[in-house]
Amino acid sequence: MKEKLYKFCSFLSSSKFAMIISAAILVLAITGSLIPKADMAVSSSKLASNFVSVLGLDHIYTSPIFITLIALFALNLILCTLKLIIFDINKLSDIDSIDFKDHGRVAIKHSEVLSFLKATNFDIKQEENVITASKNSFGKYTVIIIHTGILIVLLGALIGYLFGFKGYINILEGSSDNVAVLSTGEFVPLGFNIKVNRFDAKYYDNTTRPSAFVTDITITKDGSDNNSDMSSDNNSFNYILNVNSPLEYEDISIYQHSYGFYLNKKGARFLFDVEVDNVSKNYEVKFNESFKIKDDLFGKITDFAPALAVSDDGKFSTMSEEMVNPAILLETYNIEGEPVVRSWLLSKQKTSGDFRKDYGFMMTFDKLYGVQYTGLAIKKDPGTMVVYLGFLIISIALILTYLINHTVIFIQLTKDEETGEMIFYKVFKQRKFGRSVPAQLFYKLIDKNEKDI
Amino acid sequence: MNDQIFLQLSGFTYLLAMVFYMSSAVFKSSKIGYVATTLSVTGVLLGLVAFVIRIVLLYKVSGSVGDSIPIANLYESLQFFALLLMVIYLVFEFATKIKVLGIFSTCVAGILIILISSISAPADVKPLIPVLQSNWLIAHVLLSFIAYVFFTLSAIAAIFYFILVSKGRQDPKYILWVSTVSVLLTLLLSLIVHLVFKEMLFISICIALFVIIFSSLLYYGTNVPYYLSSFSKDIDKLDRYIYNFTVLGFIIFTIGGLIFGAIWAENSWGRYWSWDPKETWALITWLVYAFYLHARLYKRFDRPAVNALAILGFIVTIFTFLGVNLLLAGLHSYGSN
Repeated sequence: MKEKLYKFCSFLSSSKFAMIISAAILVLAITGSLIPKADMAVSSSKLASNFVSVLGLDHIYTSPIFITLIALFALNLILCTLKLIIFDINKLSDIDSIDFKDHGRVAIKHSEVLSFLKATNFDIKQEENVITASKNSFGKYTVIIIHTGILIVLLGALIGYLFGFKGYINILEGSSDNVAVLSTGEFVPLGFNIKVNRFDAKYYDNTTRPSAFVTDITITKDGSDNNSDMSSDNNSFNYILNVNSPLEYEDISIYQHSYGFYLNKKGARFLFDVEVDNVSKNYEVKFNESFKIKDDLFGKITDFAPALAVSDDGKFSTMSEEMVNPAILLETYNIEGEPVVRSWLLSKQKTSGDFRKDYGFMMTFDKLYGVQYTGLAIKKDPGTMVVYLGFLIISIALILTYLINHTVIFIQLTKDEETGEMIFYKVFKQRKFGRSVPAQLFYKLIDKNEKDI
Repeated sequence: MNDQIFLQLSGFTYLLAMVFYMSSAVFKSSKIGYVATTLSVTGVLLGLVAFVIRIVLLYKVSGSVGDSIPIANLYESLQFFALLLMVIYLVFEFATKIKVLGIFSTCVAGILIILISSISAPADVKPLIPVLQSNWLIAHVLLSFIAYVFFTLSAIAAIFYFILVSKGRQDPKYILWVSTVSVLLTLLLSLIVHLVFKEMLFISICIALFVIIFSSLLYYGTNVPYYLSSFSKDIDKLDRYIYNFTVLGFIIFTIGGLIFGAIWAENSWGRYWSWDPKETWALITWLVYAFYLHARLYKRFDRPAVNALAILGFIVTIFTFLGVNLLLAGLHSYGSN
């Protein structure tokens, strides 16, 4: 029984098992990469998509079999690393296994060998007539450290899998929310409130190519007064959220993830300037709300669109569902309520609001507020720092492995009647083609003495 | 100013250099080799001019130098990869005085540049979308590409390794190098034909081309080792180059490709690993090369079997670099749209 268990354990730690597991992971990973993910799948053929979902192929990376394989891989790595620590670490300096008669021999003064080894900074141990000279001994640990680093990354991933979550919130400009929705459909209360003060999707000039997605948010801790003065309240603060600059708050990270247009007539606000006789004034009005332009002229906004374009012959068309060039429809009327002028104002075409020549005012449309939502990704992952620690360890150990070449030279000091003092020697290098080859100096010494004979 | 003309000129110069590298090996003439090197350097300079023009054009639309490094879409990354390959190859050539690797380095660089126009990768100058506006872009992409270049060079060294160690036409090692070289040459020729006649070659013609090249190499290829005087049968030297290129590539790929990529993804998408096709294939590439490094330690694999992994690794690398973007949809498909 014991023997069987031992055999099983040694199989689990074998390179053969590592290869089988890696091959299985590879096959599944490749299959997964060729099949569109569940949320991206286009149902081109119902039969095919049924086939994919019945076999769970659209969720390969979260399937029990894949996770089991990763766990087995980790187990193999742990056992291999233990094996390295227990058996292999002193493999190079194992004198008993060496039969000196098999190896190199050269006639050389013993004092010359010793002074060479000292001069080239080898660590020297001498037992009777056998010298063990080693260099770069730290090299024997670097591979173990790399493997440990990979295990730490996997540990971090496990921590995140067990204790973390990832969810999303869509919040309309001007409103707020404090619950994230996970991909499983679960709701997770955040413990704080996110208010979206403003969301901007910025575009490069005259294109639909985005240049920035920016959400201005206010975070307020649950239970504190939302309306309190910010400077006197530590539980509330503002943050400008950008792609590539998430907010870390408590143990939760908030990312700019997506956005969209929402035809929200009730909550829409229109921000613009009106200039009459070189005096400019800011306005913020609601949909269909009437405002005074000058003494005998009133206006209201009766329609809006996310992206209007004007063709050469003056016709309007919607070019995108995104707010690339938002537009508002201005209707003006006089004191009797008779219509005066009706015109679309485009935010990127300032001249569209220039009525100075005919009606004596100019209107500059700034922003359409409250009709876009910002999509935030909400994440809690206590394992991230562990993963990063693993990354750091792997990076440093990889470079060290390349630079440090553990080398051990065994030398047996003997005498020969013909040639006088001579040595048997055997050189062990951790890496044949390592970056540094400390043994090279020793070979030079040998070469020199061989030529002397 | 237009960068495409300089790019095309550099591609043409690389292919010319390839012919000279080959002749230099065949005629064992160092003078021809000198011309080949000069042509390579000229090609690199032309490529650099194209690169700099592109930076200037991007700077005009983005207004920031950090966001103007042209590595953000397929056109730019192919161009950059070809340039990087030739620069690193030339450093190697100057350090070791070995020129034969130049045959395939220039060949691959030429293929990449012709590929740009064949797949009509859009060359319009476009500023960066928000997710790419990050300092990680340069660190992650530059280091990944340097790693890809080392993997390419290791595969090229492996081709020569197999040319030297193979014995006779029945040897699988012989078949391996003959087919690898035939694939490269078929690809190059069909791309050139496509470029000249603006017609996509029929698959059947490509196959016919492959068969012709393959069979002539199969027949005449036994003479090739005779021309590789720079190694004078020093197989250990080639083994060393394969190993060193692979190890350098592996370290840089692990740190720059996988780790930096993960940190960047965490920072912008909120997850350091999401099994995006690019990530998956990067992991596959990494596993293949990790396998190479481990297989060297086991007696079960002989040297040729291990070095064949360098060629397999290169095929996987190419798929990670290009195949994923062209064939699979995912978060990394910046080039194709």
